[in-house]
Amino acid sequence: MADLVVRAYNVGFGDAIHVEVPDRDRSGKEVRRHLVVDIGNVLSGRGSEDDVFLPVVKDIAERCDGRADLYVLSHEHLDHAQGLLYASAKGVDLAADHVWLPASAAPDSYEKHPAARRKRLAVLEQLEHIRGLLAAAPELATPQMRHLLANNNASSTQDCVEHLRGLARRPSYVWRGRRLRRGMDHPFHEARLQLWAPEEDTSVYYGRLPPLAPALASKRPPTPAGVDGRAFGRLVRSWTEGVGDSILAIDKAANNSSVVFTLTWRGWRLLVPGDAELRSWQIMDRRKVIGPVDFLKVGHHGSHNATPPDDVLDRLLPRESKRRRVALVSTHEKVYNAVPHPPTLDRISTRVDELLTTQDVAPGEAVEVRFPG
Amino acid sequence: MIVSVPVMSQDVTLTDDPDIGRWMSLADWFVMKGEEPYYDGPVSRRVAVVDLDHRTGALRPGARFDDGRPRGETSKYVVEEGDRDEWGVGEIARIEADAFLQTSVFGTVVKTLKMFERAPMLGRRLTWGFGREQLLVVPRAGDMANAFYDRDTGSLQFFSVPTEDPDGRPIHTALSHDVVAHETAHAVLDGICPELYDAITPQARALHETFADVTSLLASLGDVYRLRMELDLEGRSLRSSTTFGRLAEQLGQHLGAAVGADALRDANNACTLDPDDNSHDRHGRPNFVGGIAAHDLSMVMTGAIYGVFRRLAQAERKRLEGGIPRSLAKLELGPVGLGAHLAAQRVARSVARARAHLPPGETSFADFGRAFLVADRLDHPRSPEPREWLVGELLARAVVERRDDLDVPASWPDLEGWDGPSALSSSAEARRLVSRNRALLGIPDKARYAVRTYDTGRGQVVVRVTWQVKEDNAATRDLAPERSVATGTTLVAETSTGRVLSLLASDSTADPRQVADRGRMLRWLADEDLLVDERDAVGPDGRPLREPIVARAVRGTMRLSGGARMVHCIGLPGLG
Repeated sequence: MADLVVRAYNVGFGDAIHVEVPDRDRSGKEVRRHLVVDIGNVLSGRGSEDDVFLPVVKDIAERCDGRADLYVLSHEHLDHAQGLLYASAKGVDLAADHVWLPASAAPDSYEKHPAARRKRLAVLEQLEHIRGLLAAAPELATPQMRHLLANNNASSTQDCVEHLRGLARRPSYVWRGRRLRRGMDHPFHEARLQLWAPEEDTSVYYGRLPPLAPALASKRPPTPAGVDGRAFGRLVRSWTEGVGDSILAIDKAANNSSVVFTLTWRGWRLLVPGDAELRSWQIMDRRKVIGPVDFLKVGHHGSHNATPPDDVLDRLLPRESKRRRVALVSTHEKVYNAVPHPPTLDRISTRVDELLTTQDVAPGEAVEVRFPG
Repeated sequence: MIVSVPVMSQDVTLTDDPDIGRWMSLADWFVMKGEEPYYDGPVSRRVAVVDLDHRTGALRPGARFDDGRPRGETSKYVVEEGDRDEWGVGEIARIEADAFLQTSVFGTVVKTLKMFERAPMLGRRLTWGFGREQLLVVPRAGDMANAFYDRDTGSLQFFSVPTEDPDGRPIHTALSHDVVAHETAHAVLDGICPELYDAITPQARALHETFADVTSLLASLGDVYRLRMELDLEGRSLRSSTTFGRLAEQLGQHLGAAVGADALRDANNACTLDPDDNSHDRHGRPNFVGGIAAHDLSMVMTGAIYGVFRRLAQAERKRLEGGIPRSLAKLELGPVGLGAHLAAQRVARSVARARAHLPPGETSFADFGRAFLVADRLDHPRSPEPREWLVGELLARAVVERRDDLDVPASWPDLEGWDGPSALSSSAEARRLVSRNRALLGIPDKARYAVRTYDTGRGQVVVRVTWQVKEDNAATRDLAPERSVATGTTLVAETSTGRVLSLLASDSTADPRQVADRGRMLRWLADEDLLVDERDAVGPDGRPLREPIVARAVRGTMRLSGGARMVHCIGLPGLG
């Protein structure tokens, strides 16, 4: 009997997931469907080599005759989005019959959701402020800051998203609760797909951005008459100090907007949560979508804040279950502090039969998990 | 020196209320004294508006101070006059102008501060909690639906909400009387109860919000002009939710669609801690508050206090329907308005004075309830009804399980070693007195404690004794197995005789619900990356992160610092 096969490629600090799903076509004939979720990696430093995308895309393309059935972009971060555009520029292409993009990528998304639009504009403005502050204080432009800024670079991300948008005749913008139509959004006759996140209105994922005023980094206004000079200086400085907090908040909002979906096939249930962080998990929990799964792609490369707390994890991976369960983390050491997070991986490993990591294979190679039909 | 300052007296949306009518002014003059020197800004000794442009970092020109005294005129801050009709009726100021925004926020901050300092309330000049004399006020700190008091910078920062209005005018939180009064109250409370600022217990954080909301609400009700204009004086009932019960109308209406309410928070509520309560408010929101978000939780206590106010206002109204004393007739209010005014004064005073009796550290709603009962009893020994109403409210809202949970003794033992006012004349003397009365104050053996004293200015001295206790830190054991929590006792005594007027210790560390809620709060903070281990407290730019609370493990015990920046004016559902 044909197996469902999950392949997670070692692309450094990033994701590239390929799922081969036995299915049937309209006439009932057995076929193998190819689902691809994200291809990308961090943009500089360790784990960032782009050339690794070439053998990965080539391998996937060979397996599916150059055309995936469904390509899913989990969220608009370059380390999840840039692989196909890069490979295409080098002459290695992968097409797709269906493409899922997060709802926030829809051209009319911000028209329909003014609150999300305001938040997005605030983020774009804040990113400009951050760049302004880094220009005035270059010592703040650490490698981590450069990673985060590059990853959240709106114009670069747009290029990648445009490429993905063009893969299929008509992309599907997805959110929790959206009806998924066979033929329109996906090809599956047997497997079932369910969206757990994101919310259609992504404004719920944005946190607070501290005030930043880059102009104050280079030129402080004189203390007005009658105002306590030291206090005024402290206030002015505070408006240049929230750079780290800001970029983390912006990065988190994008992560929390991840497409989180399950694929259920012949009794096996797979969960692919992108980089959804705890706020997204809290909202999924409130929406009561969370249920047991047999395969978990560990969120956000194994960071501590993308795996839900124990009470939720117990529902996702119940301890008393007798089913075989596998978790897989796609990650790379020493790129970000405490990622992957060993205590988080320990929490998961006590609930699964195997916890696999892409670090166990060479770059460009894949870790494979099989689920028998 | 007397200075006139134009201030916003009402949120813009209220003038659209058909019950109130469009004849009510948005702006009015507030007359202040005793804050000299004055400069353009406005800037005074204790409050300074610095209108920084968050985009450019430039400082906008401040409202001009006109010292009219050389011409024999009242000093004032100059603003552009508003439009007037052919009868000369109109606004005293052009509301949209920069100068009015600056003067209004300045005047409202000072007005709120003065309200606390007046004899019926605290009766003394207040100091800020951040160790400097001057509070900075930034009226346009950025674009978002928020405002906050920040102890670190000694500032109030107000933000603006862009709207979809065709004329594109943002909503300035600095122009909302309620929002400004609320944030000022946070700053005032930080000067009176600084330990509350760093508290992690959800009810303690919520008390900060309750105090700020009640202040802003009761400030409106204590404002005779506003009462005259808004309360139609005949038959208007406070039972239904009036404009007074609804805080920050304009901002709330703008955000209303998202939060399902037409005002940011409604003090006239039935919010409860009873998990078996399945009732809902008029917007369909459950009355049971099971979460730990300070703004949501505060509605339980705010609702209880408003309930007391409402009943007191009705009782006063009934009394005044029999005739208004000549001393009150000059206020030109009917029984309804006068009843509300007098009730607001009493409740506001008891709320403000309760702060002096509140135990230090991690306090609870029940702690505040007892403090209120003591404060109110001291001022109104022969009028117990409001105290009984408060007990009833707190029982009905499941803040306590039994009446006797709120019992406070009628009297306390005398202090040992009291030898006159000099017994508390210095910190060394205070420590000696505390040491002699260790058992009375409930200080555990071997506990190291801190003593803080201050004179209330009403012949009373407050002695706050704080120590740390350890709790199991199950919820955030990854940070440390135990956590250190502040608790203590507050003693209030007559300065001249040493007679103990109150002695209240917190129940927060003994109450399993508070212990559990602290765990929930810490877990939520950690999950949101707002509580970080000190090793992770450095941002990607190499600098300390400003937003999170930092957890430091000292010999297996977690100690926290920072984080009160989270005590914000506006809390939206779903956010902490």
